[in-house]
Amino acid sequence: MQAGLVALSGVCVALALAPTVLAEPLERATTVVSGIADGAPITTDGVYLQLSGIQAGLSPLLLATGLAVMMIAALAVVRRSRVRRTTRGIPAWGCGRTVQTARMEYTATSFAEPLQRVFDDVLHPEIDVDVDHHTESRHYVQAIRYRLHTRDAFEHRLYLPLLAVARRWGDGARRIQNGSIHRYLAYSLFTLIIVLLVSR
Amino acid sequence: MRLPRKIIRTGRVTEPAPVDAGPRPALPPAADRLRGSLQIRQVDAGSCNGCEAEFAAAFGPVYDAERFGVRLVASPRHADALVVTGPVTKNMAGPLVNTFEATPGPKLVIALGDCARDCGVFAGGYGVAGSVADIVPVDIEIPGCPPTPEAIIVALRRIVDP
Amino acid sequence: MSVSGIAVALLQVALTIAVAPVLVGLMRKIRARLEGRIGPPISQPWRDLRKLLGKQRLVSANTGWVFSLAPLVLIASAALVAAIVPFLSTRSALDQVGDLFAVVYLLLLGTVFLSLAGLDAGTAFGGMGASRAMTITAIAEPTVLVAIFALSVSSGSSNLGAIVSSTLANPSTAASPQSLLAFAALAVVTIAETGRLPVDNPSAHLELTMIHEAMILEYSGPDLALLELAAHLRLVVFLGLLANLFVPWGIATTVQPLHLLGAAAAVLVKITVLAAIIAVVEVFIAKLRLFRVPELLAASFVLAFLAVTVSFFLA
Repeated sequence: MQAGLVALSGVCVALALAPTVLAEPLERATTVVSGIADGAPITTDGVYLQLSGIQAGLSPLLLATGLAVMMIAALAVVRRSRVRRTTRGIPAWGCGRTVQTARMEYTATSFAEPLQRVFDDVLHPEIDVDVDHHTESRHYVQAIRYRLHTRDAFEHRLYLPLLAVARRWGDGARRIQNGSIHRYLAYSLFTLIIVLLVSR
Repeated sequence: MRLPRKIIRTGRVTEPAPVDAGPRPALPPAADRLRGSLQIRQVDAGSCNGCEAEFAAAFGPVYDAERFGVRLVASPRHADALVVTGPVTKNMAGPLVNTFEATPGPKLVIALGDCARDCGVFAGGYGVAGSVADIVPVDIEIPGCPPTPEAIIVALRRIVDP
Repeated sequence: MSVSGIAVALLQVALTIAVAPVLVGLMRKIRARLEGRIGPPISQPWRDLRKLLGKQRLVSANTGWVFSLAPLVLIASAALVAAIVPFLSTRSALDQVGDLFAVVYLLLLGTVFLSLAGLDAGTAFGGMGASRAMTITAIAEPTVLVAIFALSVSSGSSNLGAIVSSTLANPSTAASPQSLLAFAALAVVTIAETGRLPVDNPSAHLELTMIHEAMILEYSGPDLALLELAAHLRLVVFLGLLANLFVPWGIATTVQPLHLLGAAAAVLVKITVLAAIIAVVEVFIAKLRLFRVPELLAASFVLAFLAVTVSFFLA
């Protein structure tokens, strides 16, 4: 699975750095389809991309180069001025918390929680919080379970109703054509009669 | 419109910098690199909050320690100096050492108040681990119970503006 | 790409880096004066940066390569944007290299890397800051795109030089409804993206209320210096972008040294005025609750959307 991801992201990075290689194939594709061809959509000289409809230009390759140059310059400044050496391998600063384990880290759910709370009118998340108390006193908590389930709004509001409608059509169609040759002959006969009546 | 009028009517409330009259103790070598810019992380190691009140007053509008280039920061990673108050309790001894180790050098430790210097009235208490100097190396001491904001400003100015 | 054009771009970067900390110092000074304090000297941010460069660099055992890379990406993206945006001359060499979309996404690249760095150390507050920053960015980005779209429609180009030139050619467009609406929308986004009040408090000391500061709690020494300088640069770049897109007068249309000098003075005045306005307004407002911020950003999105609608109807 990782090989596939790496390959796809590699293609993305390559296209992002050198989109100019696609300019010519795109131009040929648009000339094949008649009606939409109104000259080359993108003009390029290998480095710059220029849209022909409006005045807009871009050079991803030069942008990436510029970013790399700036990063190297910043690194050089920091390296030159560094009086003291880097110390590695010390514990992370947890704002006074000394035990730093993987359980302290933000998970994907907790990372997206604020955004999901902002859009809760659209997403309708189901949140369950179960709190277990100690038997001796309800003031002390034994365990807390937090469960969050978000239903995909598009799936439930759009795709599932569409699928239901398509299925109902299918069911109806299945009832009128059940494989009997006699029934098909009868349909043909009726159709012939209707066509004759209409065309007369 | 009440706030702008109040701002104009109040004007500047900061008092002139207090005069440094006392004998100047020798500064640790780390202080040389902190001239003009000092970021402080305050650690309450078991204080009664008297020193905290005075320390906060030193950064208020009247004493305005910030005008000398001193600033309070939220993380020891950003800090140049730790200002430690109170006798170090047994629970705070570990966190104090952790905070000290999380501070990048060159760094200073400032013991603020009599409790931080020699445990004050809490000396020998069952929950007290010792003075600040027993736990981490102390560079500068500010005496007083609690020290006045003027004393705090004078001590901080010796570092940033010698 | 002419030599003089590259020289202008480098001059812009140098000028921005020199001015940015002083501008932040000025904003702190204004705030201090209004609070009745004297405040630190205007050059204080420069002193802080110089001291941080000489300090020890601490790297915790939990962090990976993102932690070390993020300060470099953040400063490089901000500096590159400072080179592209027409601060001094409309004839900048890099004008055809990146348009307004490229500029916005370069700044976003820095935001994303800062969030990744906040998550990288695995501390609770770093993750919290990253999560909040991404929430705000996710709501602010559509506004930016729509506002840019409104600007591009009225000038027929998304290249910054072309937008500025078209406003210079038709001064009345600067006061047109779509331009004013887009300005208001981008101003709100600028405040959100640069972490000023009422979205984020730049002088917060309490971890629970932080956004930007929470992500950089783990950085020390030279890395912290880079991050702070990058934050100052981003503020100047955003303000300069706002100033020159909507009030471009004073910008040079040539690359002659005398014109560039005048342009530098003009853009400095514009940025200083904007920064002073922000500093004064910040004294009078409090930080919004985190979940009220989306309402503010939604209002700015509505303004940007109106700007696009108006620009199509009045075109």
